[in-house]
Amino acid sequence: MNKIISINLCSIIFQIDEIAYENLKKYLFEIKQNLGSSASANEVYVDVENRIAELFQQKLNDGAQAILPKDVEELMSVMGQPSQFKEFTDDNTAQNNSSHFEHDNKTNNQFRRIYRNPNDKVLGGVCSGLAAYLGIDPIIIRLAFVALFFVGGTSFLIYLICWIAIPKAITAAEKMAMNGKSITFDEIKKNVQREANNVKDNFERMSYDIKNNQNGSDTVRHIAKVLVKVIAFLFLIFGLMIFVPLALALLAVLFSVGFAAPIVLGFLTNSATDAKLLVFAACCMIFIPIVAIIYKLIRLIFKSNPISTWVKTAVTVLWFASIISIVYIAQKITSDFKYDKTITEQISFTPTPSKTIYLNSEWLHDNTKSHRRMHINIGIWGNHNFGIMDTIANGNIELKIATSPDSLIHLLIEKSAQGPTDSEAQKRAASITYNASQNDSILILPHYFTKAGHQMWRNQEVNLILQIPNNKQISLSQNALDLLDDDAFQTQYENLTDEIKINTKWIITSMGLKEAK
Amino acid sequence: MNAENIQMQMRKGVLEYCILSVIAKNKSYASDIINSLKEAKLLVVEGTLYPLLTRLKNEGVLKYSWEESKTGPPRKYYELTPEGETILTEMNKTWHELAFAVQSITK
Repeated sequence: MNKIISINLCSIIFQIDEIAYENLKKYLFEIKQNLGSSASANEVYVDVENRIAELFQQKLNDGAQAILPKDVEELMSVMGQPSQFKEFTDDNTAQNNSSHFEHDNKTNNQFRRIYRNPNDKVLGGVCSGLAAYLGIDPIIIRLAFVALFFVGGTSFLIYLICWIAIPKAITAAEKMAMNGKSITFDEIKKNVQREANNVKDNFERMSYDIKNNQNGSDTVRHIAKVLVKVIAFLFLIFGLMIFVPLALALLAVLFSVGFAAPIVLGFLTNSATDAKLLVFAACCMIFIPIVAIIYKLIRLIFKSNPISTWVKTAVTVLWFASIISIVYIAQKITSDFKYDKTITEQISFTPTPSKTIYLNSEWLHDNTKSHRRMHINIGIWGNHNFGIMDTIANGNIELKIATSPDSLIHLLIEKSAQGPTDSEAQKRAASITYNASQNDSILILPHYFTKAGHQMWRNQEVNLILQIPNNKQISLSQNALDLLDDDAFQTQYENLTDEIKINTKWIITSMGLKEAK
Repeated sequence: MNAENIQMQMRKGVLEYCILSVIAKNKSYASDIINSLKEAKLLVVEGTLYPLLTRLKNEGVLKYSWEESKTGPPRKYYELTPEGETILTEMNKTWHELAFAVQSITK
């Protein structure tokens, strides 16, 4: 059972079978491509459409109800292969006819088109086809491909895409075109313009359809098609502009696939299946558009024929599937952050008789600032990557200072974490360890905390509230200052330099730290 | 490769000559031309014919007029222009010379 579609061919309405319609559409499209973009090409195309309308009309006059696939096949045998339409279109053929007998096919006047060369091939004939197109010896291209293979396997991918995108030269005409007149920059420009015109044509046809409001579903189909075309065109322009960065990104992806899985496994998800799926889907999501752009570029520049819609559909489906998988896993990961739980632990220290309490902090290994930054930036990611210190987070700690209710120093440690359930979040929060220590009048509050090794990183945080007895004043080290909350100071002291802040003794007020007189 | 190429060039030249000859007899529609060519066993598909007719028209060898058709859209009927007739006369001459030459050489 097939749908019947109404088409308008030269102002005659035909009922046509769905499959016949698709075949006819493809046939006409290929004819149009072969005719090229010259002024007379359009005239020829109209003649061809007229003739098709006439042949179909005869079918209907003979009593057929609709145009069937076999009618379209019959039409094709009468009209010939799309490639046969271009055999004599070239405007130069007439003037240079005589010279053809004297020269070999290297100098024929047809514009050159790229084909895979079946007569001189190692794998698919891509290299010799490219060589014929560029007018150089195939061995040069082959060597270049082999050399590039050792640069991250780039050429392997390029070869595969070319194999798919470039058609094989089968007919004599195609073999001639393979060695035809070389393509100038103008030709490439014309191709691009033709693409732009196609989009314009579709727009015009769409507005015509809407105005005449012929058939609701047809109009919707058309709008959808035009939208796809427009998006494809924009995508292509965009692709041209960012082609080089994309090619680099492609390389980066090639290299990162190996490294990506362990990061994803430890950090984003605990399930190995999910991690593999995620990496695979991410690769598909990035790879497919890049390959599509390269493919489109090859087709545009070399004017080759389209690959089967079957492959296109499969690839499109794969791309959407990869997006869906990513959304699915992202949703799963997000749900792991659903509940937020904070546990407060309190430790107390007995102050020494001295008036001043010295606050210090320490980073994990050393005190130089550059190392410190490195720890913050890659502490979580990097450590996971290499399996060292994978339970330690440098940074992510904030200190507030308040007045103690009694004569002791209290440290409130607020540990928080997120999880898929309240109890899971609580478990994660509870697994955080924070070790503050007192050394005479020096209080050391580390700038890092640890979590239990088997727990995932789920937004673990530690907030400190240090309660200092009323009669004490404090002195800050640079490290302690880094740990301190931004608005710990009273407003008038906020903008002082770190150096002054370190050399000042502070007392605690309800408004923040204040200089001790 | 080379034989194919020369065959194609030969066919191409002969095809144009034959088409002009068919049109010279009668005002013709594309499928009429095809039928005449098929009768003469000169294999060609319509797809090849349309670009050729359009080019000959653009070169001023042919002109066309529209005629209503009972079976479909209006048809283009081609006929020779005066220039086309001159060309055909020259082609006739050349052909006979060539045919004679080929015959006497290959005999």
